[in-house]
Amino acid sequence: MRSVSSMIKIYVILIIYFLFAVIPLWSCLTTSITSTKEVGLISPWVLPPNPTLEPFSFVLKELARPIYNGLIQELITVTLACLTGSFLAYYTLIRWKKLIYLFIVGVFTPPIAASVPTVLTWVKLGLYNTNLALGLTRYAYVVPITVLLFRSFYAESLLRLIEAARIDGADDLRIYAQVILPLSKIPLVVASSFLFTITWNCYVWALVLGPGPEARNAIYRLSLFLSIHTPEWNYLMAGVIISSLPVVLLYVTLGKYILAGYTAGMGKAV
Amino acid sequence: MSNKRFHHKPSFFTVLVVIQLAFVFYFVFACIGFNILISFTDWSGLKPLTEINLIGLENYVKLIFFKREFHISFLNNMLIYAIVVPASIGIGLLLSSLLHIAGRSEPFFRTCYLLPFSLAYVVVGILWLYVYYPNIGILNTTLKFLHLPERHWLSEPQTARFALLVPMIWQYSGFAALVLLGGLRSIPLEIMESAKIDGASGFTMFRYIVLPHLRYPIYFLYVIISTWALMTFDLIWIMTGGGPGVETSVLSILGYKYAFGYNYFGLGAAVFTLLTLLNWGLALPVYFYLQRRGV
Repeated sequence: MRSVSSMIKIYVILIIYFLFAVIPLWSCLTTSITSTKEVGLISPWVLPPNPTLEPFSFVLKELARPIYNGLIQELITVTLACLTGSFLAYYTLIRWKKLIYLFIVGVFTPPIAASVPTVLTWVKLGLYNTNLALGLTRYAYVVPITVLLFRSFYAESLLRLIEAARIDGADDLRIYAQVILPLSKIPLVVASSFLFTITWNCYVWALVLGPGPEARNAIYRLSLFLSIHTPEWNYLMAGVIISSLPVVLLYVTLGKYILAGYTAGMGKAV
Repeated sequence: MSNKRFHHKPSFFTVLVVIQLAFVFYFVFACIGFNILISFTDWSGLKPLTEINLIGLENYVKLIFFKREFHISFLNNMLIYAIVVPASIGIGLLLSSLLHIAGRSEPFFRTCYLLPFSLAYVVVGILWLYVYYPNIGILNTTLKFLHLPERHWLSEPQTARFALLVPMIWQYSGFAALVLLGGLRSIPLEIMESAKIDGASGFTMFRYIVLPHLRYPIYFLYVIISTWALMTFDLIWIMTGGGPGVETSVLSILGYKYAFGYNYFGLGAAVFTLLTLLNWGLALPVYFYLQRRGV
């Protein structure tokens, strides 16, 4: 058993870092329930004496449409990326193993470096500033990491199963639909929760592709609260809480899977 | 055999593969290719596409030898890389070894440490902008309470440059701690027990048992955090926009400003190309090493 004094040392450090991690969040919480008159007069350390939910009701109205846009884009990105990710991972397993190197390079390619040609493409197609363009663009850029993610779950042992199915007369597509997909429940949960969070938090594509009200997402709309000269901090903080809630809830419930998304995507793939 | 394949009608399976690959290939690789092409031209917003000239490496020469904002942005990227990556991994190491022996309260701390990581960069930027805000921010009100001098943290180049590193470390250390905690959990207990019986001190066990076991998670963290450090955009864009002046600018912000702010598409594309090459150069070798070793 560890001595009491060493346990105290451990807890002191853990609590110091805990404070560092939550103090900015705490000041966000206290400010979000402060009325506009009192912001700046009351220290962000303490709860306001007259708490109000007015900032939330104001911000919720502003964020309703962006949240709806975000969900439409999520639907496009997450569904397509999960299907393509598992499909192409299966393809690299049975056919073209070297293809995985292309996806690895893709993972380390900064999306912003392709922003100008991407914008031009969607403008040419007449889809600039639409939910479809944003959903499809994000889909294209998350496919490489999603393929690596699924590939790390598809062990070589799967090949024996595939071989058996082939002998039974199933073709490649049928094996994908009836053998691979049913065996992919865990990677599908990992991929969809992981992709949901990175898509929801994405700002760059919203900035260059969907700045208008028809396609802007919650995070982008939130950043616009800053563009006025003196930010109204209570509205901003209420906006922070509302727009982060889906992702934070997902992390609290499925955090293990989302982390697995980060580590599996970077794990063994070749 | 190959003959037979050529005369066959392509199967639906092949068609599906080709469609998906083509879509991804277009956006991820062809667009990067177009970007590289643009970087060899003098395209700026006012010119019609027919009057664009190929100017070879002129944009790159201009950036590397004459543009002060490019030098500052590059050095800021390197500063972030040199401080944020080791600091996050170091704090992560400390926290994970403490969490490992913390006992029943571990899930509580683990959840709280991961909270900052779950937030969008924009949200982190807003939170920390508020922390640093003059007069009403939590940092300055605390300093005032302690009768210490307040500062405009994000308006002075010297403090702004380092003030921006704190939110990044704030976000990444918790993530690093949890990844490393996974590695610590996989160390067989018998090894630790027998080392203890042999009289190994805490430090010796850390240096000769724990660290070697955590080698691959640490390489992995190096790869992923250095990628984030080089690609960083949203956080700085929200907090300072690269200012004051260009003092806190980084390559992604500089490229974005050239391309979308001033319509110097050629110059912006050159910055983006250099950023891509830098990212490949710093992350890919370690990643392939990790793959060869088979994590």
